Amino acid sequence: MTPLLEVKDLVVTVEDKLIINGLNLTIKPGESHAIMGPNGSGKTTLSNVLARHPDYTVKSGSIRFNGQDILESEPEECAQQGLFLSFQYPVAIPGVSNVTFLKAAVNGVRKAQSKQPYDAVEFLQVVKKKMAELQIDEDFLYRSINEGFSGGEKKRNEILQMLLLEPKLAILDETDSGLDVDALRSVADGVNSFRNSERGILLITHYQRLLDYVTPDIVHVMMDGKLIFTGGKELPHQIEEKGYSWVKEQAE
Amino acid sequence: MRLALESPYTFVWHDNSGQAMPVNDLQVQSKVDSNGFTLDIPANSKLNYPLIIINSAAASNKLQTIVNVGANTEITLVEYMQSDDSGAQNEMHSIINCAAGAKVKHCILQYAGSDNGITQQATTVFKQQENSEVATNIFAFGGSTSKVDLHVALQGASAHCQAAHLACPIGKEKQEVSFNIEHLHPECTSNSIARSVVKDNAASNFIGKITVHPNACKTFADLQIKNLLCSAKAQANNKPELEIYNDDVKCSHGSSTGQLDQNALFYMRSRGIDLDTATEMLITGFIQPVLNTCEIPEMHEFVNSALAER
Repeated sequence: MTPLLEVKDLVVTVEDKLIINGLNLTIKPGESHAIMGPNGSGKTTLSNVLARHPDYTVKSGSIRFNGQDILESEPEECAQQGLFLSFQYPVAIPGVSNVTFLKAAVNGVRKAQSKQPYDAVEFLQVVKKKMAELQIDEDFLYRSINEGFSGGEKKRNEILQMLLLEPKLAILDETDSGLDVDALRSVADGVNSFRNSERGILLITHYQRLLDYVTPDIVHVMMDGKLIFTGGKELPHQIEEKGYSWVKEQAE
Repeated sequence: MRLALESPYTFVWHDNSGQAMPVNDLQVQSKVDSNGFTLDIPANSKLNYPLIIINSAAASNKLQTIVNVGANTEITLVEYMQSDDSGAQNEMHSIINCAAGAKVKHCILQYAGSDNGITQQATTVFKQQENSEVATNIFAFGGSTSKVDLHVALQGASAHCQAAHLACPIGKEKQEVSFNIEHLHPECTSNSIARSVVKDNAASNFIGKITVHPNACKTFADLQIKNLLCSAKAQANNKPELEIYNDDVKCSHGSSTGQLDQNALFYMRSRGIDLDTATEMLITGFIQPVLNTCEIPEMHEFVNSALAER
């Protein structure tokens, strides 16, 4: 079976500073992985590189998504092929309504996948159904993208986009940060409803909190730009108890 | 480009001569002479149709318009400047006298089919008496040089003016805009907003001046100018100025110039929206505050089509 994601010996610099230093990761369909790590270990850089942020330079190594080399791909091409990144800090865009944005995104992806784009009426039906599942109010559609949104609303919006775009691989970068318990639950329910035997999930976090609700199959620890340790779903609790220094000792 | 607006009160001036039929009915009295038009709208009326003045130049054109809006009268006035031929000079001077309690929705559209040496220049003066309200929107698209001078004299107490300017110069086009707003009496308000989307090698210069005279206590005045530079060679210069001769006032101004937000572009692209569409959406979002001030729905359509061409 072709892995959804295959990262080999990845080295990434930002403004000449080495951030990711020989990282390897393979995610197969149906698998949920988590990457945990202290601040500054390179987690967010990894998620941005995977989504092909233009500011990050890959010095060496390879990234294959669904069997295809994506190092030369534009961000929109990756998204259209089924790669999704939920942002740690979703960007606010004044003057552009959510509904305009969501429709452009969904139809951009559908068009690339040779599916019929939704007309306005169809789209509203689809989006309202998903919004109800995530307990999002309808007025949200006509507000500017993420402008004046609370932390919980922003993260719900990210999950709504994921459910609408139906990607093959979803990377969730610190999706639990800034959420109260209720918001965390509805976000986790959204993520769990997304899981199936064909899709992959990569959860990036520095706490176990989200992992109590969305249980990963495989947990990696990232430090100094590489994955230094891999374990099962019990690992987050051990880290919570003993700290990252314990993991470092284990790795050595 | 065609205006989506139609009205029996349409006045056309082309290469220094008026082709308009003078209109004289109960609501509008018009005179045409060698300089241009004089329009009188009597007091206490509400026009069912907009007044449309079309000012077009093939070679050289100059129009002078005087509009006298009676007390408590409501009108919509659209001044459309259009030039398609290379080297055309199109000039327009308007004085709009707003009597007490008058309400004027006003719009200037500058549109040029090419930037081949065309100059379009509009000078508009509003004289506002007490309790009058003016909402003016200026949309400038095209011409090698586009000049707009807006003068607003708030000559009676509690008069209000809302002024907005939107331009999108491309190629080597040059945009020169000045707002000159004078608060002469107490309790007047003015809100001014300007947005320029500057592309290619184009340049936008904006001077915004608000003067609060000694008598004008309890003035509220605000001026906000923003430019979006879409290329490395695009230029924008803003000069907001406040001159205040009374202590009991509330005045503010702000000016900023920036580029397309790269994080916003990446965010949109990471959702499968291509770069061109994402850029277009960001520009649409940027100009929205100006477009939202325009209460003439047909203008929105015109502006969106004109922007799409640029």
